[in-house]
Amino acid sequence: MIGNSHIGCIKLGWDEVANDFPDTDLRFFASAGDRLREMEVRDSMLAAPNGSLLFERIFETSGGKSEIVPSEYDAFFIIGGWKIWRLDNRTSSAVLKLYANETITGAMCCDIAFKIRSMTDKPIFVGHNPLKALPAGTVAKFEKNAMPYRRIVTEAEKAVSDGDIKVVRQPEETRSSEFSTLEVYAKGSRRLRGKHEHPDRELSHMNSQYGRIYTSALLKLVQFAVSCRSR
Amino acid sequence: MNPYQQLNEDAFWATAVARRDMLDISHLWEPKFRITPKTRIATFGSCFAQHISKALRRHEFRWLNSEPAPKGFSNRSARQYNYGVFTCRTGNIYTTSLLLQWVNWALGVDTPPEECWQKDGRFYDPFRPAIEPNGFASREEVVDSRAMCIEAFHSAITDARLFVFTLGLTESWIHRNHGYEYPMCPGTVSGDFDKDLHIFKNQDYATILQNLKNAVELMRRHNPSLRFLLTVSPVPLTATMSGKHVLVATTQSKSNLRAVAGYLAENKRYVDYFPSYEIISSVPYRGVFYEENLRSVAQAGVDHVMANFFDGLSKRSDYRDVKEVNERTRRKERQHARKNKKKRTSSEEDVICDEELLEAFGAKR
Repeated sequence: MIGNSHIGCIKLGWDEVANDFPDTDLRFFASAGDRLREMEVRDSMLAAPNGSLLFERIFETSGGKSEIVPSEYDAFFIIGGWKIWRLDNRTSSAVLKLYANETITGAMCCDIAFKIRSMTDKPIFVGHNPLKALPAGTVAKFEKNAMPYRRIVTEAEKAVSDGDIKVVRQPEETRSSEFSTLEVYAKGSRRLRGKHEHPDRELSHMNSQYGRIYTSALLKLVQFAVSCRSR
Repeated sequence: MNPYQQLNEDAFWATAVARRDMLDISHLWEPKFRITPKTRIATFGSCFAQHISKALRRHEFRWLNSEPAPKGFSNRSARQYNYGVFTCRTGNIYTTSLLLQWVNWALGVDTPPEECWQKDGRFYDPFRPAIEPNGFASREEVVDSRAMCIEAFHSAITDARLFVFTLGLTESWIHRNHGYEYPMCPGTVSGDFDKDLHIFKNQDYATILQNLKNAVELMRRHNPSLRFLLTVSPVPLTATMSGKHVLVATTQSKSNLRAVAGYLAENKRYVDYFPSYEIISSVPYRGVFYEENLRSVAQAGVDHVMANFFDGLSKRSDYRDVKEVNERTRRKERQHARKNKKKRTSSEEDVICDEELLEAFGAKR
């Protein structure tokens, strides 16, 4: 489980649902912002430059690991850098395709995914940042001509299908519209390090309640992919 | 004693022009009304208007973008798909009648025609034939995308405080039965030319003036605080259907456009004229601001035009805020213009000009 600040709520959610997945063991690797891009493929593993801040963060968040060794895991999930914004439903399919392609393939999560793919054929999943938890008034203003969420994600899936990268969709029950998350999931979200909460106006980071729903959905996908592979 | 003796040196050719270095010819424009970095500005018109959009953004003026590219879209793709070229994705609006057509659609006076062109399984908007590089996937997409643009054009009219319009052409192509106008002759960028359906019209002074007056008045009715800044594109015609030599046809077209812009600016308190046309194409500049093809305007020319624009703004005594914003950038623009004076450099970014495609599709060259 690799990611930036957005992996925080997934970690918190996992702490709450771990008992429902007794056969699953998750290892987290996290560092804020886009810093994970610095990870390098070296000797069949993904490693942070020695002595870097990233190295410290990886060590700290993974419980003592200094690199990601693909042979040690059955599947990979990466989140961070891929943002989905509101799009007008009347946008042409050519623009949609290009938009979906550029936003996913240019994101940090995809950078890491492709680096891992260069070392293994095990299942790799990427997730986009949670849709913003926009106030109801804003949602109502733009809802009429909003592009369906699934259309955007389907295009993104096509963009990374060549690398056999799978896309995790944000669970429907967490969404308030085609482009937003229910506000309740942004209340009390915590920072990646420490136990401090994000400010009240924070709309992009979600709480453990969201993390619980997301992680449960994600693990079902992962389990299915891993079982298909082992058959 | 005669009245000329009371005039300052700007009124005399010798002192204002002939005895000066071309780059030192100054005071070409005194803005009629206040334009500050906070003024919401919409820009439309022919190819040359794109330079004004770019310069306004570079100088941190509040340039309106009522149909922005999707967030996360790269600059390269945005440009390829004509986002951020004009205030919304109308493509080039070359004639005053085309401007009126867009205004009528945006304000509900008229509805856009259903016509749609098809080629190799792709669909094209006759009113924005090159807006997407490979056309649209379906007729519905054409209609939807145009509807979005019309909505954005409506926002531009209602949200802007200044509407900059560059008059480009007088030659136009009209649908014989329905009377609507195409920005490009059908069969050039896309579509098929039908000699029974598509008729050529070289608009005269009275027509150009009437259409521009109507467009301005309609917009003012919906936004009484809207003001207009007119410019005339110094870019000559790529080709003419008038039957005249293209040089003669260009002079006639530009003269009519210049006269209309001047007339409106002199007769309406909310209309001003900025002399970009003169700065690029008049005799004292000896054509140095044109590229090798003697048609496209080189970056040095654009920089010089915009330096004059911001100079003009900053000379008004109530424009302190403009001065602050522009002091540094004006200097840069001038330096840049001097440096490139004899280089005839290409524009930093190619200007999107559908009309140039005429050259590619012309039969005899």
